[in-house]
Amino acid sequence: MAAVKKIVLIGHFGVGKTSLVRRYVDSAFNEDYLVTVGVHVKKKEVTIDEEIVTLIIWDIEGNNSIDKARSSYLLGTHGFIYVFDVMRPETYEDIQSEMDYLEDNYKDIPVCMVGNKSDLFTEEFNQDFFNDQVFKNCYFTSAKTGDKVEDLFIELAKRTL
Amino acid sequence: MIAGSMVYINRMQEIISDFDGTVISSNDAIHSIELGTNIFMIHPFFESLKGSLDTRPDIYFTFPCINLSMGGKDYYCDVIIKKEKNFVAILLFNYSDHYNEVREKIQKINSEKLNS
Repeated sequence: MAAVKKIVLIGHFGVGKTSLVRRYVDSAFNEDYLVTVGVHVKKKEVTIDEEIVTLIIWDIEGNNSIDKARSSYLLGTHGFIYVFDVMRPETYEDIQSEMDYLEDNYKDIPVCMVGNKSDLFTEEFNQDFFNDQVFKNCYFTSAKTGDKVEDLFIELAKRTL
Repeated sequence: MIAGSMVYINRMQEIISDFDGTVISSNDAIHSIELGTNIFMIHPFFESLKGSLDTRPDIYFTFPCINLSMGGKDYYCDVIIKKEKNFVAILLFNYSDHYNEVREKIQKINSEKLNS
């Protein structure tokens, strides 16, 4: 019997949470921004060390801070993905306090931090910019190209087991 | 008053299942469900609740604005899950019209912010 793990994506609006889920689950991408209201739930089965794991992925509406997210959406979460947009500082300027909030309120629940839209990096502005300690284990993904998206979900799935 | 009541009757689906998720009754106001179907198989939203229903004795969950794709149609529903002594009650309130209006407004506001 497959283990079932609830994964919740959080972060500001427009950072690409829905696009990451679409890329991972449906292998699709759309340039147009489509707002999420409430929550969309999708699933995908993965095999981790010969064990089948069903990921139930909750793509919730964007919020400027986690404490504004509807609490029932976060109930029973096994893993969080915190997404920010590498090109929009307002989506990561409070990231330390957001991580602290998760640590205080969801202790022992693994969190993957994700800087999305890495396809927009340039030679001058790249992931070296994010050298602060808080970004130490950050994934830099592109829902557009698919870069690191699968790695991200697999890593989090492993950490939920 | 009667007209008001009818609004809710047409919008609210009551589904009763056992603790394994087998549907015992449904008024099918929103989506037709064959009796004996497992509720956890209808949509991943319900599947994700399975662990909580298994482990907790007294449950009353409310979930606003859940996007449910069922039978080829998309709905925005508020959902109430209540675990009783011998069954689980699942109440779906179809507020798709309202949430679609909200979505259009937020889409416009957010798009302007992203493009500014």
